[in-house]
Parts: sequence; structure tokens; C-alpha cells
Amino acid sequence: LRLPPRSSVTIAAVVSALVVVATIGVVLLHRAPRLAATNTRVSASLVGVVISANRRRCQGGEYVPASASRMRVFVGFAGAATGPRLHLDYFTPQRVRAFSAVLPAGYGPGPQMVRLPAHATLGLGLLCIGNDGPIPVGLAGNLTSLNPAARTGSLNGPGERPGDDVRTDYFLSGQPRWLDMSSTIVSRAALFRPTLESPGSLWAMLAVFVIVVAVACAFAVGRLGEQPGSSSAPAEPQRARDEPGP
Amino acid sequence: VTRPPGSRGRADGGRLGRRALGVCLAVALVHGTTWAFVDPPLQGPDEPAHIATVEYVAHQGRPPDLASGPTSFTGNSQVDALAQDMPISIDGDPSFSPELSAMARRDLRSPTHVGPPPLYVSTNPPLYYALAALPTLAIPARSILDRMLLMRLVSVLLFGVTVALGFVFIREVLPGEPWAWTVGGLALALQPVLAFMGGAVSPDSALFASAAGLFAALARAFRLGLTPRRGAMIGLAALLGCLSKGTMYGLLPGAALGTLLCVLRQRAAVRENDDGDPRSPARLAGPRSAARGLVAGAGLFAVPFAAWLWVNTHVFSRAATTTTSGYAVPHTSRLHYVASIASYIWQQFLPRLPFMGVQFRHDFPAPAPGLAPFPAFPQYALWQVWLEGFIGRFGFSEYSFPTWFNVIAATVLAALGICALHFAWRASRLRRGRAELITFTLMLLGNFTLVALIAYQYRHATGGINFEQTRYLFPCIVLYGLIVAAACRALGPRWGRVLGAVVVVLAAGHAVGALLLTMGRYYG
Repeated sequence: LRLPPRSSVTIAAVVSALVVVATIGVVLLHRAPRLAATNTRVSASLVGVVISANRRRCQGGEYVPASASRMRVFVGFAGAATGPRLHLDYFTPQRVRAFSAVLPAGYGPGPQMVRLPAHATLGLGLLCIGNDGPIPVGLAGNLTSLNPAARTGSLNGPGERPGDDVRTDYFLSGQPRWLDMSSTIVSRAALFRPTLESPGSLWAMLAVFVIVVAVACAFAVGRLGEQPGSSSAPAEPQRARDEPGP
Repeated sequence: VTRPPGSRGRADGGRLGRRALGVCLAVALVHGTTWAFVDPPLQGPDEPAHIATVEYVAHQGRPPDLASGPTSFTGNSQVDALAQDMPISIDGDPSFSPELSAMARRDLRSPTHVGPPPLYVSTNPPLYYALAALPTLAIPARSILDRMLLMRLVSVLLFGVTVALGFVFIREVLPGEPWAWTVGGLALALQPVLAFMGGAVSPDSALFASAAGLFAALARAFRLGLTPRRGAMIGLAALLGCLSKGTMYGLLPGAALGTLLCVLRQRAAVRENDDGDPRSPARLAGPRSAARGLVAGAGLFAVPFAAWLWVNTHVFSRAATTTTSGYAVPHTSRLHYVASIASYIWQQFLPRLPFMGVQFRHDFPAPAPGLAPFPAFPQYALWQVWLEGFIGRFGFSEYSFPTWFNVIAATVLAALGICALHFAWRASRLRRGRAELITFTLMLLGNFTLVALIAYQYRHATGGINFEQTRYLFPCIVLYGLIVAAACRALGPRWGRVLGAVVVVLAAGHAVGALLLTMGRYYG
């Protein structure tokens, strides 16, 4: 506690920096399920899309990247203890079958994960969901927001219907770390990048910012570590120093 | 009038003071630019509508006509196409579809139809929109994505101005310890929500810069005395703010009182301190000079603003309306209206008392019969709006830091607030700091009261949709820098410096964390 001011300030800054770096490191190395794609435009939907017993429903505009290994739908049903079997058929825009998947019967209401087979990327494809059971199922929609304050939830993408489709969320395999996503982040950011920006500008700007902030912190710590009165900028007479402002 | 004669040349802390100002400005500019690059298109608050308004001003050379609203989402075909096609939703998760991206880029190559923008932004005064239109006029052939980036960079410059003027404000209010200016200035430059707004297309950027200028000009007048030049600076800042956004009106009563207090204080100083010395501060900035400063400030504000109101009505045929003037709330009596607003303000911070009506629902009401419930927001305004919103809520107020982070950050902010309150209490016992304290507190209260009135009316007119956002209090954001600097000063020169180092490093981590949070939200 009797350290000179410069040492106290430097130690405080270094300890704080270690805490910050450790926290950011934990975040970057944290493993979690990560989206590969989704067709939803809302965080939660107001609409349930119903598929009657032994009927099929198709929807367009489905983007399923090759990296997607699981698909999530939100299912509700009534009249039975467990949900009926659902089969999913994916078609290319030219209506050629691409791949299929199945959600076996016996699940409960709520979010359900469907394992997808290995496949090539499907752009603006067609997804048909067949209800093989004796009861209707309701699947969460993707357009009409449950949030009454949302203004743009009703916008439709090309190839989509004017109303809600079944919400489909696609996930990458495993639980990637945030740091594993660095190249994916660049490619995703490039989707709507102004031409004034280069592909890696996102990370480049972040790097520049971190460097500038580090320099600024070093500058501030240098200023704070100066002995009172040693600065070349003693702006005030002693009276102003002793009295608290404003 | 506190500055002793002969100290004028060292008022800015000398070379190191200027260097500290430069560092804070550089951090702000890089921070804002990073946000402009990281935040996806249209993801700033009401950004599609603001971009459409800038485009309208650039194309038509005049503010939007208020006679009719847009015939589409924003009235601008390119902004509409971008909002329609891009795989990044305002409310939901990203789709990351390259096909949608390619379609959007194809749509953006078609000619732009520029119609009237949405009325909820076109009622704003035109200063920011005219400023943001300038670079788009210089590069007219670029796509809307490029023009949006240029508009964002205008906001970044205004963010830099805000931080620089905030630094000046802190320097004028806390003149004794130059290191505290650096801490306060960096706290401003690294505030993530302020930088997020600084990297988005929004007239708030011009409003924050003007308001920071008003605070700085008043602080300078308090310290050095009111003169015609300083009075003019006060009037100019108030004028620019009022030409940027109506939220500025909330600061005007406090600013007017502060200017009057300057005059009264200089009159009192002459009576008490006139020792016959012609270089005495009381004589240098005496009551006559202060009176001229008052006239200069009032004139520089009132005459151009009255002229703008006349031009707005008679040249541009725009009604003298505001964004929220249509939200009238029917009440049985004026007393009931006032009591209801008082209850609304009370319940933002404190538990509802038995005789008060419910202003913030704490349940999960269903949007319509038979539909799933959606949580009312905010349920606890102090936490959800003011604290979580200040620590970091981004996009269309839709994503924020995790709760564990918000709890830690709120604890740090509370500790800083307590230290700053202790410092202010000590200052209020001194006659010297009382006028400043009253003025800046009144400006904050005016800002809050105006926002509360609008939010109350909006909430009741729309059936409970929230209006409250932290950014509406950012015209007073320089007070945040002051609070941080004052908190450090409260601990004395030794431990205050240690706290300053901790605050600067934590603020840097906070800023980097907010950018990572946003990258994860949209791209991760």
C-alpha cells in the first residue's frame, strides 16, 4: 500500500487488463450450438402453420448450407400424448430431390431437432414436410412476429410466400467455439458488404481498434502514474487542486 | 468567476492536455468507424427510415413533405430492397443466404425511386440529414450500401466531436487534475452504446454533439465568465441541437438558467471583489460583458431558429409538428394527467404504491386472444431500460450482454456513482460549485422529463408498446464522463489515479466485448 503512485497505477492497470483478457478469452473459447442458416425473420412467431393428418406442406426459398447437420422445428399438437412422424424432403429449385430426413414419432411438444444426412448446399430449395400421423401438427411460423413492437417481421424474402412458412433453423455440427467461426464471420459479413469495404475489413477494423485502445490505455496509465506536480500541465493554482469541483 | 488573473494561457492543461484530447478523439473516431463496419446494414435504431430521409434530402434538396407518408416500407426502393432481401433480420436470426444476397445486389442495381420517408422520422429537423447527404452527393453513382457507409462516417465524425467536447466539458468542470480529464474522456470514447449510435445513420449523432457543445460552452462560461463570445457559443450549440432533433428542447430550460446564473454571479463578483485591479477576473468578465453574452446567446439561438420555423412552415409547407405530437392521451382532468405521469416516472425507479395505477406490467400478456403470451417490456424500467440499456443494448434494442455481465457492470457503475455523489456533495457545500451543479442537474432532469412525457404518451397511445431507450438521455452523456472523472477525484490523488487506471482498462474491455457481442449476433 506504500508503493509509489506509478507502481500502484501500473499494477492496477495490469491486473485489470488480465481480467479483461481472461474474460474475452473465455468467451472466444466457449463452445455452443451455432446457426448455419435459418429462414426465420422473427425471434418468436405469432403464427402456427398447421399440417393436417396424412398431408404434406411445401415451402420455397429454403437455404440449407452443406455445413448444416441438424434442423430444428417447433412442434405443437393435440389429441395424442406424443407427436406423429414427420418426414422432410428437400428439392433443388429444379424440383430434383436433394435429400430427406425424418423426425420419428414419439416426441413431445416444443423444439425438436432433426438430424440431416450429408448433403450439398441447397440454395433457394423446396422443403416439403409430410405429416404421417393421425393427428394434425402445428409448426411455428417464420414471419409474423410475436413481438408487438416489431415493425418489419412481415417482410418476405424472394421465393417465400406472402404468409408464414414453417420456421426451420439449421445448425452446424457439434458445438464450435466462437474462435472457430472467424473465417465464417468474414464470409457472412461479406454478404452485404459495401464495395468500399474489403473482405477482411471487419477483422482489420477490430484489430486497429484493439491496437488504438491499447495505446490509449498505455497513455492513460502513463498520465495517471505521473507524480502529482510533475506534469508539465499544472493548469490550476493550488486552491483549485484542494477544492473539489465542479 | 474563479480563474485567477494570468492563468488563461494554461487553461487547456498545456501540451499534455491537448495530447490527451487527441488520444480521446482518436479512440472515438476508430471506435465509431469500427461500429460502422461491424454493424450490418439497416441495424441501427430506425436506420432504414433515416437512410431513406437522407436520400430524400439529397435527391430533392429539401426536407421531406409531411403531407403524406411513404407508399412502401421506407419510400425508397433501394432501402426497401435491402430490407426485403438481405439475410439479416431486424427481429430474428440471420439466414446467411448467398442467394438472397445476390438478389439484393441485383435489385440495388435498378434505378432508385425516392419517395417521402416515414413520418416518424421525417418530422425531425433537417440539419443531420443535410450533413449526411453531402458525401452521398459527392459519390452519387455508388450503391445504397456505399452511400449508407458514407452516411455512417458522417455520424462517426459527429461522435468524435461529442467526445472532444465532452473532454473540454470535464476539463472546465474539474480543472485541477488533468489526469481526470483523460479518464473521463476515454470513458466517453469507449462507451459502447454511444459508439454504436456514432456508427449508425441517425440524427442522434448531431444531437449528442450539439448537446455536448452546450454543456462545454456553459462550463466554460461558469469558469471563465460569460462574454459575448462564450454566450454566442452557448446559443450556437443550442441552435444546432434544435435543428438536429427535438429532444434538445429538454436541455434548454437548464441552459437558460445556467446562463442567467453566470450573469448574476458576475454581478455579485464585482460587488464583492472589485479591488480596483483592471486585470481582476471580475472586471475582465464583468456584468456588462455577461449581459452582452446573454443577449448574444439568446439572439444567436432565437433569431435563426425562428427563421427556420418560418421557412419550415411557409417555404417547405411543413407543419410545425414533431415525431410524437400525434400521441395525445385523453384524461379526465389536468390533475389526473399530471398524477398519472408522476406515477409513471415513479414506477420507472421505485415499486408501485397501492394508490397508483399500473404503468409497467409485470406479467406476460397475450398479444391477442388465443395466442401465446409475450413478455411485457420493460417490466423493471430502471434495470431493463436504463441500466441494461446503458451497459449495452444494440440493434433495434433487441440484444444485449448476458445477465452476469450486466450485474457486474451495474455494480461498477453504482460504485462510481456513489463516489461521484460524495464528490458532488462536497462540491455543493462550496459556493463555487453550486451554480454548475444546479444547472447541469436541471439539464439532465429536463432531458429526462421530456423523454418521460413522450414515452408516457406513446405507451398509452399504442397500447403499451415501450418507447423508453437509454439513448434518449444521451444528450447528457458528457455527464457520464464527468461522473467517472469525479468518482476518481473523490478518492484523492493517489487512489483516484488507481481507480482511473482500472476504469479505463475495464472500459476498453467493455468496448471490445460489445463489438464481439455484435459480431456473434449477426455473423457468428
